[in-house]
Amino acid sequence: MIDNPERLEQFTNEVAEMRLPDTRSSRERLLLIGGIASMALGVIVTIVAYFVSHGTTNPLQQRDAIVIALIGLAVAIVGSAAFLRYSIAQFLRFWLARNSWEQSAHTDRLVAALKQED
Amino acid sequence: MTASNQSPDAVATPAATPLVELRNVRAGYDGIEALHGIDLVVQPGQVVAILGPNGAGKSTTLKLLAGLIQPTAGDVMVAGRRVNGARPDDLARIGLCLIPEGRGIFQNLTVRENLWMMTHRGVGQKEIEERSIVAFPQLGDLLDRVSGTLSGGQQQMLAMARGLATDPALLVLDELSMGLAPLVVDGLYNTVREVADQGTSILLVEQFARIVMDVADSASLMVQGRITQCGHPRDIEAKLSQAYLGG
Repeated sequence: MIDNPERLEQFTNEVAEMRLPDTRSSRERLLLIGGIASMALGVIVTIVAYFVSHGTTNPLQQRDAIVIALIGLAVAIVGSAAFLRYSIAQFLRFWLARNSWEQSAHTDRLVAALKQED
Repeated sequence: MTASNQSPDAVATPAATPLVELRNVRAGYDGIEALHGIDLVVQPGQVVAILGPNGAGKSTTLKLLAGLIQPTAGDVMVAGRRVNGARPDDLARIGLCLIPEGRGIFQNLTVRENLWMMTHRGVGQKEIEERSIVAFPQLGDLLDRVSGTLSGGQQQMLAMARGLATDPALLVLDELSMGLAPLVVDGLYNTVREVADQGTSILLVEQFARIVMDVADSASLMVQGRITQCGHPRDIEAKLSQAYLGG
């Protein structure tokens, strides 16, 4: 049995350096769940702030409630952005695969038609 | 399944880390298990064949190794590292090259464009074309042909050329002979033999032991998702006939 030590060493090094996707996919999922949670939390905080402002005639407390509502709104926007980013990434991957498959099927039909014509 | 497929050569160098090792691997499709705990070892420079009838799990094993499906249990080790969950493109990039059943070429692209797709490892297109033509001179006249219009043998040559152009550390071949004339199969296996002689490890799947007799160092017989026997292809051939007959 002959082997190729240089190529083998290169391969071993590349395998060692290879980033395994488990962590990446779990991070993506975590961010997606985090996005959904932030959206819900932001909306809840805003609603709570609304009731806090309604429950008092003290202008200082009302201003605090406005600040809390704005923070809630910001959290909801950031959550929505994270949710869109990571759910769209999943969708686009699926779309790309689907597009590629359809193109291949179309080519098969074209090749079959050309062969028939010959 | 604990049968070992290591050849005498591999036993002579016990310290060597196997290039590929599957340890009690289980996998399947949509909850239906197709591999029921298989063990397989490919040592550096070794040519290992997986033989067995249709539906035995041979192609599933190769897909698993290439990262196209994920194991539900067990370990997939490559160069001593557990790579369960590795992405197929990452594995391809480092040099684990699968030539799938059905060739896997881009039918709507020309031969030249198909070869260009393999420049991802940093080898220039010109060099890839030169390497391909050295391995398969016939491709030289077909560079501008749409690959979907090539014959089955020419398509398989292109698939092989694409694989070899990436300088693979492990070449994984899924039923190279499928649907091809015996003469064409002989020609392709001559190239496989040359590649193996240059030190590239090869894991291949075939239905018939005779085809791989002169190429493989060792063979594993796979039946119903299990490796039932390991040894030289010559020893496996008789068992393979029994497996076909359900014995």
